[in-house]
Amino acid sequence: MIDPINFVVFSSILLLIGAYGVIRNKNAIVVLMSVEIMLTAANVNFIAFSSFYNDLSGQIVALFVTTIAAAEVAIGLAILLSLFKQRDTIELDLLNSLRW
Amino acid sequence: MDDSIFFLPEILMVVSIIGIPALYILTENNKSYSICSNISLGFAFMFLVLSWYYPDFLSLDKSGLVSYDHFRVDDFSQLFKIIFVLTALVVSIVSTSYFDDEEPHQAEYYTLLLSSTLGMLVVASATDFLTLFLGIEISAFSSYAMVAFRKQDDKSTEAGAKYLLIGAFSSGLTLYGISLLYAITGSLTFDGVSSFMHGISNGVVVGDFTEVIFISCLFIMAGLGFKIAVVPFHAWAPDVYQGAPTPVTTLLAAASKAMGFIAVFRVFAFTLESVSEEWKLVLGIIALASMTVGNLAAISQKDIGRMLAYSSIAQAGYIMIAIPALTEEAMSGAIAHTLVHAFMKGGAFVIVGCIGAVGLGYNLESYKGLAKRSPLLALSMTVCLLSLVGIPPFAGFISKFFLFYGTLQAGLAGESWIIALVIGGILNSALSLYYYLKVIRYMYLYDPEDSGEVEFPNSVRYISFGVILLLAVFFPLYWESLFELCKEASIALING
Repeated sequence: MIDPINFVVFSSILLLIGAYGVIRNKNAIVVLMSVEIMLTAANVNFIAFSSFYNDLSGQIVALFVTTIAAAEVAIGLAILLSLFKQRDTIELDLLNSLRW
Repeated sequence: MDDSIFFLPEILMVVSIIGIPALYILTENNKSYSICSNISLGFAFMFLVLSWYYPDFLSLDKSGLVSYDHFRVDDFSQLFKIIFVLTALVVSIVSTSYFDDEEPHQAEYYTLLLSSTLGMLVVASATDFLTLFLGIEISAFSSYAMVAFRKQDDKSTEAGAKYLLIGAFSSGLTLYGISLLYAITGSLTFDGVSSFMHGISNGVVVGDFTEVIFISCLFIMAGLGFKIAVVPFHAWAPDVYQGAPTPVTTLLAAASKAMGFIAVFRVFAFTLESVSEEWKLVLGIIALASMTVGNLAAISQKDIGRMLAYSSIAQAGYIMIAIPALTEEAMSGAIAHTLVHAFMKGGAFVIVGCIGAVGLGYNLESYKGLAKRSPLLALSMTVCLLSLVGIPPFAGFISKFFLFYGTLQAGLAGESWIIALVIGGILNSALSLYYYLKVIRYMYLYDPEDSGEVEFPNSVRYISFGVILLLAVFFPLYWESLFELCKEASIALING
């Protein structure tokens, strides 16, 4: 049996990678991908502790989260596509027509 | 009768989410979608009111609580479901006059509106973290698409992209917080987590979980803080409220905000209630910061949507002060203010949308001389704004009074720093009078800039009249029953 602390360390590293990607990246697609990494980090926790507690609900959450992530990407790409059609760019720094 | 009858509102939503695309295939008539959504929302509203508050009328026997493993129907959930369905109904009616017949993709719009409402209904009844998270996400995904609904409109798309990226980030944070809670408790239900937390404070559970609980609370607070737009997680709100089509803004400001508050109440006032000791100070600082920042930033706004967005950040701050206090009175005040806030903000945004749709624009300047153009709309806007300040005798005063009084009682009985939150709230209310009165002054004391005749749609007139009736007549006269309703809801919330 692997000590569960390893999973927590792994998932928090994943979360930090994801959060860093969201904050640092200028490209909206990469930001969406980084959000996916953050969701995966939570999934790692859920699955690891589901087997640790012998409780199925964690795995069920992980399944739902995978579905949610897919839906999020679908909606996200649709919105970014219509943004691209208008501006020919999805650089986040250029999203500045609404300010103050 | 079977308890499952109480699922009727959710079932109605699902049926019409399937039904409207079917209508789209059968007929190309834009009117039919709005009629379908109006009918199902109207039925859901009538059913919710009759089944819970007049059970004899439908010959139901109501035990006061219908509980399943992950889903519960109680006083708290039904009160908020009524608000959600009512707001969605108003939004659906207003949308017909806001979008003209030529507007493309109306079938999608009404489908998304109903699925957003479905998500809110699920959140209201959720009793475990998975159901809560799913409800929030159903509602949020639909509103991302609704904010970016006008594909040709640059601002709408930009607001949609911002809302999507920030919303996705915040839901990632919430989910990680939930996963940490699951890691230490091994349970996802509110009851399970709550009894574990009580076990820690009673010494039944052995081990030191303080840091893990702190970190997971931090993540959950950050994620839910984005949903209710409190400082420092508020930056998206003004952009989205300004850029989105105004009926969508109405839904976000009135219903989506209340949904976020339900999640905050369920998580921080019930589930994590026994560990909230360390959290009280953090939540209090967040509350004080958001009312101050919201009100100060609202003063200099030129766009009415942004001004109301900052005002709604400030209102979120007022509601948050009840959570450090965490007594029954304070929580019922918070519930009352969340409800009344939905009415006042919804009413104000309905008029903002109407003024924008008839071509007068969204600037404060465009409200010059509104009283001459339409006395009814100007009066309704005035009632909403004065109610937001909390001037007696309007509904906003009553709910704010419950909220501040309940919190003050808790402060006098226990920790005295909570009194400072109440004082901050009262000072901020006085500050907020400035920018609300500016709109009222424009409406009554100036002449219209151009004297052209403007025709306002009838549906908006009726809704404005209803808002005046509710905020200026009904709630002030029957404040005791409002108080009773909120008291029952807060008992259902705190006792779980």
